[in-house]
Amino acid sequence: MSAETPARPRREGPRLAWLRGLIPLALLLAGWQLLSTDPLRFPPPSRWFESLQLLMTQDVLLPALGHSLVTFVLGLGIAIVVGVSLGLVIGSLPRVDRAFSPLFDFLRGLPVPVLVPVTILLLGVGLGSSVFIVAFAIVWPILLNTALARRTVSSVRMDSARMLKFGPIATLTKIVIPSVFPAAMVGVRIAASLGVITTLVVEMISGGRGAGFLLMERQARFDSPGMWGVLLIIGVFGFLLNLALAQIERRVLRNHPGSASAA
Amino acid sequence: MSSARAARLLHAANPSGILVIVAALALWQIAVATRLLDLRYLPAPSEIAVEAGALIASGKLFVDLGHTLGTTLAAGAIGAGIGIALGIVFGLFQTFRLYTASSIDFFRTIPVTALVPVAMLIWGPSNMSEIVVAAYAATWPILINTAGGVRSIPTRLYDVAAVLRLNRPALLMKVVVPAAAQQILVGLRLGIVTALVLAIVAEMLINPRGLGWGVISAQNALVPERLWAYTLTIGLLAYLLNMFLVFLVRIALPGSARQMADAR
Repeated sequence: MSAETPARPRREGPRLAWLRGLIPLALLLAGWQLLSTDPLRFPPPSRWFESLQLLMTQDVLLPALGHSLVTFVLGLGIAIVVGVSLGLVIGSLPRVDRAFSPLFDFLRGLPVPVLVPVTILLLGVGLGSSVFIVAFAIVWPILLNTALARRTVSSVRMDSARMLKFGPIATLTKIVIPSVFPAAMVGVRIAASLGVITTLVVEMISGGRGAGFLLMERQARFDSPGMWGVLLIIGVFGFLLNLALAQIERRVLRNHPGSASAA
Repeated sequence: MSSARAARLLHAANPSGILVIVAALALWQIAVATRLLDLRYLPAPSEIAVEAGALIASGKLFVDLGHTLGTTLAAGAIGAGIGIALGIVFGLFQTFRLYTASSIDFFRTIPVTALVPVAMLIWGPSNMSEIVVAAYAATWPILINTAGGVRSIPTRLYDVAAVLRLNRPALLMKVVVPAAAQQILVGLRLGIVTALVLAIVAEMLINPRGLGWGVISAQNALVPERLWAYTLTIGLLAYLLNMFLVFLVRIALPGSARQMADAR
C-alpha cells in the first residue's frame, strides 16, 4: 500500500463547481434515508446522528477521536523527523543507499497490520507502541523520497556551495534542504494518508482505545447506527485531510518550480 | 561470458544489499543467543526457521498462503474490472467527471480499514466480507490511474482515429486502452498490493482464515516463533508479489519498466 499516483483532476469550471460532484453522494444518502428497510444492517442516516449524540453524552466519542488524533499526529511527526534526517544521510552516501535498499524494500512492503501483534508482544499495549507502529509504517515514503531527491541534487548547486565556501551547516540549510523540500513534501502527503489508515488498524487490532476500537466495539454490540456514524466521521476526516494535503502540495510545487517531485 | 556482462550481473544481484540482510539476521541471532537482547517474546531467527519448517512440512502454511493469495487475486480482478471501466468513463467524459469527482474523492479517501467492521456487519465473518473489503481497496488506485492515463492521451491520437474513421469500440480498444496501458498497469500493481494488505486485515479481524489469522492465532496461543514465522512469511509474500508484478509489467511493456519501478 505505498502511494497512489496523485492524479487529482484540475478544477474545471467556476468555483464551487466541485459541489456538483457531491450530487451522487447526496442522492445515495437521501435514497438510503427514505427507502431504508433493513434497520439492523442499514439504519437510515438520521438514526446515525441519534446514536452519535448518545455517544457524545456518554463521553465516549470525543476521547476516542482525540486519542486517535494524538496517535496519528505523534506518529506522523516522528516519521517526518526520522524520515527526512535518515533520508538526507542515506541519499548522500550512494554505497550505503544501495546496500540498504533491499532491506528497506522488504520493510516498506511489509503489510502494516502484521506489525501490530509483533510490536504488542514486544512493547505491550499503549500509546507508545501505537505511535511506534504508525511511525514505522509511514516513514518509508518520506525517507525514500528524501533520499532520492538528495541523491539527485544537481552537482551545479553543490559546486556553487563549495565555490561560495559554505560550511557543512550552510550547505545543508541553504542548498540541500531547499532542494529536497518538494520531494519530501510529496512523501509527507503519502505518509499522512497512510497514517490515518494505520492508526485505525492499530486500534482495531490491539483494541483498548481510539476511533478504530470504537468502530469495532459498536459493531460487536450491534449498535449499527453508531458504527455508521463513526464511519461517517472518519470518512469526512479522511476527505478533508486529503483535500488539505493536496492544497499544500500544490502550493509547495508551485513555489518550487524546476525541482520536480520524485514520487 | 564477457567480463562486462559478469559485472552487470553482479551489479543486478546487489551483493552489498544481500550482505546487509544477512548481517541483520546474524546480528539478531547473536543478540538473542548471547542473551544480549533478552525479550521474552523475541525468538532467534534459527528458532523461527525451525517453526516455519514445521509449518511447511504440515502443509498448513501453504493452505493459509493459498487462501490469502487467492483472495488477493480475486479481489484484484474485481477491482480491475470496476476500476478500469469506471476509470475510462471518468477519463473520457467531462460531464461524468464533473458530476461525480467529489463523490469519488469521498469514497476513495475513506480510510479503507474503517470498512472492515462494516463488512462484518453486512456479511458476517465470511470470505465474502474479506473479498469485498479487499476489492473495494483495490478499485481506487486502479480507477484513479486509469482515469489519469486516459486523460493524458494526446489529442492528436484522437485526430488519427477520426481520420481512420474508427468506430467507438475500435477507438476504445485500439487507441484509448493501449495509450493508457502503462498507467493502468501502475494502478493494477498498486491495487493488487493494497488488496493483499486489506485481505490480511480482514483475516486478522473478521474472517478467521489465511495468513492473517495465522498471526492472530499464534499471538493468542502465545507462540512467538509461529507469530514471527507468519509475520515474515507475509512480508516475503508482499515483497515477492510486488517484484513479480513489476516483472510482469516489464514483460508486457518493455521500455516502460524504469518508470514503473519508480512510480510507487
